[in-house]
Amino acid sequence: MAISKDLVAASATPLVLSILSEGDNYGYAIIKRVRELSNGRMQWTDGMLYPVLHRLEEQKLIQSKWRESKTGRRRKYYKIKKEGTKALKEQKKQWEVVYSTLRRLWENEPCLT
Amino acid sequence: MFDLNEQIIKWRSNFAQSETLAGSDIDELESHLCEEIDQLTGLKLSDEEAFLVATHRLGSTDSLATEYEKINRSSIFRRRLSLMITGILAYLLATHFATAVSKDCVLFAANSGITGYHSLGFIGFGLQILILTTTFFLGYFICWLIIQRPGFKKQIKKLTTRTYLLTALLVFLIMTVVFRVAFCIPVPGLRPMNIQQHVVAALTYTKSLWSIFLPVILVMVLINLRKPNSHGVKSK
Repeated sequence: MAISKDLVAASATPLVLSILSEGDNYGYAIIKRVRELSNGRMQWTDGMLYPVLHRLEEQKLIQSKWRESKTGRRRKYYKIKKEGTKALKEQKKQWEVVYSTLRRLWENEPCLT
Repeated sequence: MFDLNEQIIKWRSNFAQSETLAGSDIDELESHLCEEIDQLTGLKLSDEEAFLVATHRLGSTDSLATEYEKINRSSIFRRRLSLMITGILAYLLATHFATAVSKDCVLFAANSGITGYHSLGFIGFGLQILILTTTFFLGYFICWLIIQRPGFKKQIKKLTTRTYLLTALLVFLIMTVVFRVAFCIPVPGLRPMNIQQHVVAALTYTKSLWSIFLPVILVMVLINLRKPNSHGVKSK
């Protein structure tokens, strides 16, 4: 089952902010983490993550810094800022409302199996 | 034989043509591509297969350029405006140079015995057009060559944009003043002037002031157009 594009786009911000709230991370690892957590069901076109990250950076929710890995490869690490943590809290509330609304509707549905 | 490095350079150059992606955006995508290729070659894929899969997963140049355009819109506008203002500055500099040289040549010709408004006028006009076009296009061409040189971006990164532009402003000011003075000073110095000629000279000086201040204003606009420090991003 593939998740629709719209849903992937809508969930990108809370996903990125949540992953960054676990610690600083770079694009490739963020995508890998999403893939692992969703058991490969959430597929992003990899490159599309970066405009999302840059938008969040522009909104001052996260900040970035180039660092060199042990292998000598340069990676751009992203770090969540205070404003980002606040925005994540707000996003959580909103998603919980959506989730509980749908849950209630679907709980009332007659189960056919 | 498949050369991975060569393919990556080619892939990069596709993005470099699109003005919606900044250099650091492409660096970041390349870093991602290399991570993915490393991961895939670790799974026993050949370099070629890994490259194809990784570029496919990253997305097409066009779709990425469209996405980046949405977030880089203001910097694209700033870049275009900067280019335009730089063009105007180059034109002004070429004009000053051409005017100064042609007027001085006319004065020199007048003093060495060439007479008649027509011949002097032709010398002045011809020289001005010739010098103006050559200086402008030659200057533009040289700038273009310098910008295209590999390693130019690294050199720019070492200097802050502000210092770079202020130096340009200083050089420009000095050159403008030198060219203007080269034209203005010899005129009243060479022959005695009547009131009418004094008025003309005064007007020329006023025009000179304007031609000095206009570039200053334009350079100030250029400085303010520079990209604000992008939230602590530091590239090595």
